[in-house]
Amino acid sequence: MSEMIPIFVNGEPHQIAASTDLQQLKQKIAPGQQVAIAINTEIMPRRLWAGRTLQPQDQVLMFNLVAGG
Amino acid sequence: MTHLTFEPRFATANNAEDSQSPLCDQQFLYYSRHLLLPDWPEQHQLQLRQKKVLIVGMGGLGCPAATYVAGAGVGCLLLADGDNVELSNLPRQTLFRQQDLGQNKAQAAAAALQQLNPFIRIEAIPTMLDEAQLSRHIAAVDLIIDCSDNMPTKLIINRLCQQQQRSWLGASASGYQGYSWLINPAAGGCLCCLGHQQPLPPGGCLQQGIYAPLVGLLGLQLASMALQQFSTNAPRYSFVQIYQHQWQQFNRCQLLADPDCVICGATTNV
Repeated sequence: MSEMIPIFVNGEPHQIAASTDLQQLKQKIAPGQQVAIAINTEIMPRRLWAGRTLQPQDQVLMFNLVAGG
Repeated sequence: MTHLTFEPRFATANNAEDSQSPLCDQQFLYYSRHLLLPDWPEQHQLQLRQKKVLIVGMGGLGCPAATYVAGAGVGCLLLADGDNVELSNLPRQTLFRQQDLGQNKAQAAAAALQQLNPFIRIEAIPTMLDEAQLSRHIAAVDLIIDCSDNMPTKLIINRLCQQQQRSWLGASASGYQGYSWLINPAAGGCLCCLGHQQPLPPGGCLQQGIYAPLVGLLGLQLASMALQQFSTNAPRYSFVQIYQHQWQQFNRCQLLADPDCVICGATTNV
């Protein structure tokens, strides 16, 4: 069994396999959804998702810009 | 409580005479609580009087944003909205009263704001601006605040501001979700870098409702961000602030430029 690490997604604690990258996390948390992803204090361009391996305690925000006001 | 009688001559911001003249006694009194701040000298107030701001959308975001930008003494406000005031607007669109029902929002807001601050100039644009009109207005103002309620308008503003290399502020909200942002084309990053240039699923107040205090929070954020843009310590990077309702807090995240972005990817400096 692979090692698990703790991260937070939209403020909620999650345990994920070590070496999981942002692309894989997105597929797990929000499959088929159009989202933007911020990790810690930066919004990551989509092309960098696959190369960004998650670290313990990373704070991830997945969001979908809404329209309204 | 002090009661003031304002004279019409004060409502002439941005003309040549006004740009040279110091604050009159009534203006000193009006702006006194800001002028007491350690980094808000009279010179800063005079500089604000020279600024021109376009606010697109005078709904739940635009009302609070415009109220505080006007109250701070930004010299000229252009308020654009083609909608009329409806009963369901009153709980959160705080410039409107029952007697405004059926009136154009930009005109009703301009009238209310002129009562709030007679020392500035306020112009109502009572139509939905098309792309050519937006482009012209964007080129003519110091700052753009997008308070529109639809993604197509936001994306047009994003593209035009990128083309003209103009910083702009914006916000959006639906349900309990809310976002505000500063886009600075010179620093890189734009709204399309979020990857939402494709059509979004139906949303907005009509479909999902709106938590009224949230648009108030966002509108006040926009006003404060706008005033900060006119100070010397304004952030120069693009960012998005993401509201998390369960904690009643915003997370500010820097918006990194997407090299593949169809809008800013070819022109960004970073």
